[in-house]
Amino acid sequence: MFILVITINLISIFFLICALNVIRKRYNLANTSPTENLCYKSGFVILNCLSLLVCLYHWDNPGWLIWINLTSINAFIVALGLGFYPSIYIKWIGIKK
Amino acid sequence: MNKKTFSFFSICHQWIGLVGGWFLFIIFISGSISIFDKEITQWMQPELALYSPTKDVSTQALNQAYDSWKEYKDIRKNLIILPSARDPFIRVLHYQDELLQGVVIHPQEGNVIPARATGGGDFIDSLHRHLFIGRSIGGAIVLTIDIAFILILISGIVIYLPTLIKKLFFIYPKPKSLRFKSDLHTLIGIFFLPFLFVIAISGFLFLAPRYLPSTETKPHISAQHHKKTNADTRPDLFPLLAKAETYFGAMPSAIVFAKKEIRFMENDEARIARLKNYVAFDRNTMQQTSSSTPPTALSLLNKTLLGIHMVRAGDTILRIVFFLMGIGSSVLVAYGLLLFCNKKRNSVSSNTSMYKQYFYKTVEGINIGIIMGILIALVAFFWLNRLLPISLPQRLHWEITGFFSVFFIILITSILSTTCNKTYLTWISSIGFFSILCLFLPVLDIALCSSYLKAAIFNQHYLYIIMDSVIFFLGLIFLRLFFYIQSIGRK
Repeated sequence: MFILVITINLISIFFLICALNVIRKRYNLANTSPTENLCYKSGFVILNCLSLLVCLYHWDNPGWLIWINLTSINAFIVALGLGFYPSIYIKWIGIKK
Repeated sequence: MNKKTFSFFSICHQWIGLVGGWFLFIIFISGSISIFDKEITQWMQPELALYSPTKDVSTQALNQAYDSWKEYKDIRKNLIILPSARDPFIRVLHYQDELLQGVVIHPQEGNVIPARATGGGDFIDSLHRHLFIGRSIGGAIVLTIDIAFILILISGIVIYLPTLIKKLFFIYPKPKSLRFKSDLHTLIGIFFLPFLFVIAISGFLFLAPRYLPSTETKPHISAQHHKKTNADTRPDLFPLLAKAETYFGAMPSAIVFAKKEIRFMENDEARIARLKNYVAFDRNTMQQTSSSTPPTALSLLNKTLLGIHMVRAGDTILRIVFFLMGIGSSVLVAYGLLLFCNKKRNSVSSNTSMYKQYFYKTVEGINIGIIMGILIALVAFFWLNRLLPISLPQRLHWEITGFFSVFFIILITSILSTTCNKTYLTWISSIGFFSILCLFLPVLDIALCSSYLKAAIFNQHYLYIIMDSVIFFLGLIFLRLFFYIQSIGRK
């Protein structure tokens, strides 16, 4: 099951990177330093791992199961947000179009 | 991928998705709701609110439970359900007319609580398991739909894979209706894919063995009731329950009576895997005779998948998360059905034959009828629970007849109105009707069951208030949807 968790994590990271790149391309955003990109990516991984640990600690029985499904719901909400309300993202990263 | 293969998968996804979607929506909605089956059953028996929840069982209550069980001992699948955190009452149940029916006993006082007869959460659960058309035929239909669902998922992945990334994060500052539906369908499909696959495969594992030749010898529980044995003498269940409690380290979930043994089933809320562990005691000597054997690795995997499907473990949090996933999956199916209609409606031109036009209109009517019909019928089922007189003979059957009557009325009306080009009117009226039913159900509950609600609050049993609030909130969501569709219609 942990292989599944890791796979989902990897896919989600891949999606996140794609999301950032597609948005950058679409809005012709300036290429920022690779450090910033790394910062987002590592932040995403650390936060994901942290959420898993919290799930495992708090719900000792099927913590991983709760985490997988919560991640799905979260990723869905993020994708909807990025897709339909990109302005939130644009404002968040603080770059003018 | 060549064009032929792509077109094959596309047609598969469209047409299997259409017909399968009608059933899948019912199965997903009823399955999501039946996650809270025990809570719904309690809400549908408001008389239980008068008693404060307790998990301690008395000898008197166990004796009363045994006496009640004896009345139905010749009916298959009869058992005593012990109190748990989710349902703090003893229930003596027997399987009749595709439903678990029986009496409720107070676990301490030992009296039979005069709770109203209701289909409760078990009816919604049986709708999920076999569409309430018989275990064998209904199960076969659900199994077929499950296989179709796996095909729909695979064909969906094949279709969307080449443009997946582009579609997932493409930005639409002002999305059009069709685009929005397509995106929402894709997004839910992708992000809920692990859940959908686990549910589809575990559903298959649940139903398929029923239609395969069995290699296992059946336990001798079902047939022995016809023979006159010493089963008539009331066994002393209390010390056995204490032994079983020590054996499992927690209160068992149920008691099943066999010819020579009394079996105590382990509470499945403690583990994810649906192990069905038991410990059995001899009726005469009261000594332990047998217990369940540890499963093999393969069997454990199977039982874990079944356990995930059932969502018995993991407390309320996992159930809420699974409920959200289930509702999301229902939205996926509903948007798939609407997407089909929109595409076909847009492709209709003056050259399209009359028959084809009527066919698409009928399909649209069925789609609306199924989506709104099942939702309205479920709320109507709750309304009937409150409105039907408690002393009405065959009360439970009236509730169920009411449910199906409402469902088929909505279905037929939707088909008729869409064929008369009244699609907008059908949507708006059914959404408005559903919203009103949801908003006024808590009002009805307060009007008819205020004494029970007061007692529930006094006993710190907030299930009734939570359930009413959830229904009211659902009504508000659909009211917002009603005004949104109305505003679109005006433009």
